[in-house]
Amino acid sequence: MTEPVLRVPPQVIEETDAEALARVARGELGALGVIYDRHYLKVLAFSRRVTRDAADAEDIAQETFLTAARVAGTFDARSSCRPWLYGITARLLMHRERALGRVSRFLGRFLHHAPEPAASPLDAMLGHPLRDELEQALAKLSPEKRMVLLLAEVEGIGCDEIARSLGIPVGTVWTRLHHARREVRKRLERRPR
Amino acid sequence: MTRCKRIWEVEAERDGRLTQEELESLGRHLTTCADCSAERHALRALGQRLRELPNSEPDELTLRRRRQELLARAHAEHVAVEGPARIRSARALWWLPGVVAALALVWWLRPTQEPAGQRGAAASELPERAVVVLTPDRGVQYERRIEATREVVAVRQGRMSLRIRRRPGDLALVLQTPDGEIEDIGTAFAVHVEDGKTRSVEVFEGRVVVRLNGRAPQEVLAAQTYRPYQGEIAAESPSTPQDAPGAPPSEAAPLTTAEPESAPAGPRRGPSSLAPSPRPRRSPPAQAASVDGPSEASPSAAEAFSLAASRLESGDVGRGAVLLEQFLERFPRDPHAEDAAYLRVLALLRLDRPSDARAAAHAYLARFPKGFRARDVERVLSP
Repeated sequence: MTEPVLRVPPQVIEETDAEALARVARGELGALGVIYDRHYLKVLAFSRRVTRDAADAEDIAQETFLTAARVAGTFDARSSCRPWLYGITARLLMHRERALGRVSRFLGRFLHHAPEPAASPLDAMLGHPLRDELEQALAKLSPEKRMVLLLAEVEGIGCDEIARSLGIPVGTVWTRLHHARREVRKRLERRPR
Repeated sequence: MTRCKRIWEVEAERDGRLTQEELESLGRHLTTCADCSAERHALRALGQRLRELPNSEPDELTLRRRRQELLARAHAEHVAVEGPARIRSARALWWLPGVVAALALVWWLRPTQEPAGQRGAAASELPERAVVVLTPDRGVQYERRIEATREVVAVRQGRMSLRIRRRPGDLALVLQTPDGEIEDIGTAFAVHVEDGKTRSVEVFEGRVVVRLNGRAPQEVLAAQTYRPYQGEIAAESPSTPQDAPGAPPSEAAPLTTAEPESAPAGPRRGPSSLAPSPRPRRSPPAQAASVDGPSEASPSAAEAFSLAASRLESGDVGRGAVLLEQFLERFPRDPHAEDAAYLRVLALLRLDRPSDARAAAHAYLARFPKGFRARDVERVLSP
């Protein structure tokens, strides 16, 4: 007769983001893989929604995690580092938008008509506008408003957290959100589905 | 038709701006107000539509590949962090310094024919930060510190020259000024700060990139002097020599070859080797006018780019393309060069000259392989 076996479930102690980032700051790069596994898809999705360009979005997402590794020591031990990562992504995206904006402003007269929102100046040039009317409305928002709207409505980040991640006052987040919603709704109303 | 005065509360509720009391009050109001209910529904619907925007995810294989790339890149960068990490681990091994000191004492006391200079050279094989030789002028205010992954020399006031030798594994070095920073790429240069502004950056060897707040990065090559605020000091034509009256007076001061503040773990150098390489301290007019070809402040480069852009804007695409080509030939290092190269590709496409556009795309990619619009330009070349 066999004795009953006492089965004890293995104890799972999941490392928090703060602990993983503390290890990254100490130079244990394996912990960066932990952070990547938890948050990469979300960061990539956010980046894609803002840029509307898959290749650029991947570059930005990759750069976000590299930057995070460099500044891991500055993470302030919130429960999740995702909003913090979004803040890094947002800064990288702003840098990209500024670079694209320099060229885009020449395109209006160049094309003899106001270009339809497109993923890039080349798409505008080649006449490949964004198809979805909501994407078009989003594309016409300033990058600051677009990012705040996407963080609040799609990623579900609270306004306080957005403000903290982007380093702006929460009142600015509210204002940007309000204007972003109003502008998008106005554009959608003009072009009923 | 006027809308309900409380309609703003619906958005405030969504953004978490209402107190518990206000939320309860709004909840009661919503049961009777059609306006506010409709607004709430509209806001929720907008959020729902945004969440439903198509957003395809990469497959598992791509994810794994990206993960490997990320860790490989992070590892490559981590080399620069190894210095401080070694210091920290040394703290944990508290007994090690005593042993090392004892061994060092034995080493120094042993009879040897080895010249002292060679012992210094051996020590230099374990640098934890870049070999930096600072030559501060009298009265210069600065500090030197190590931040997480870089060594920082912050100059607040005065003039200082630096000679930097970096090897793989050394910390990156950044020279900070009140209005920006200078990235060293292994070189010798001098910086002059006055009244909270970077007045001049002189490069003796190698090259540096000057990043001042609100300005495009400026690369400065050997034998060049960059004076970002010269236009503010004296409105001069671009051909005016940089020695014109009005330049900061301290720039005329001779470069000191005083003993270095420190030269950690580096090969010892005599004062003569610390001095900048012999070159006229004041650039001749021809060089001065071409500080890195076109500095951002150089009207000739800015005017040339703006002229080409205005041609494009006015619809004269053919002329615009020609002017862009000329701009790229004359000012290949200008901060606008990438924009110009990209605009030229677009202009040639617009002119329906696909083979020229492809050639321009090749030229762009050869020049800016990691440029902001490289991926876009690659699409021009794809079949």
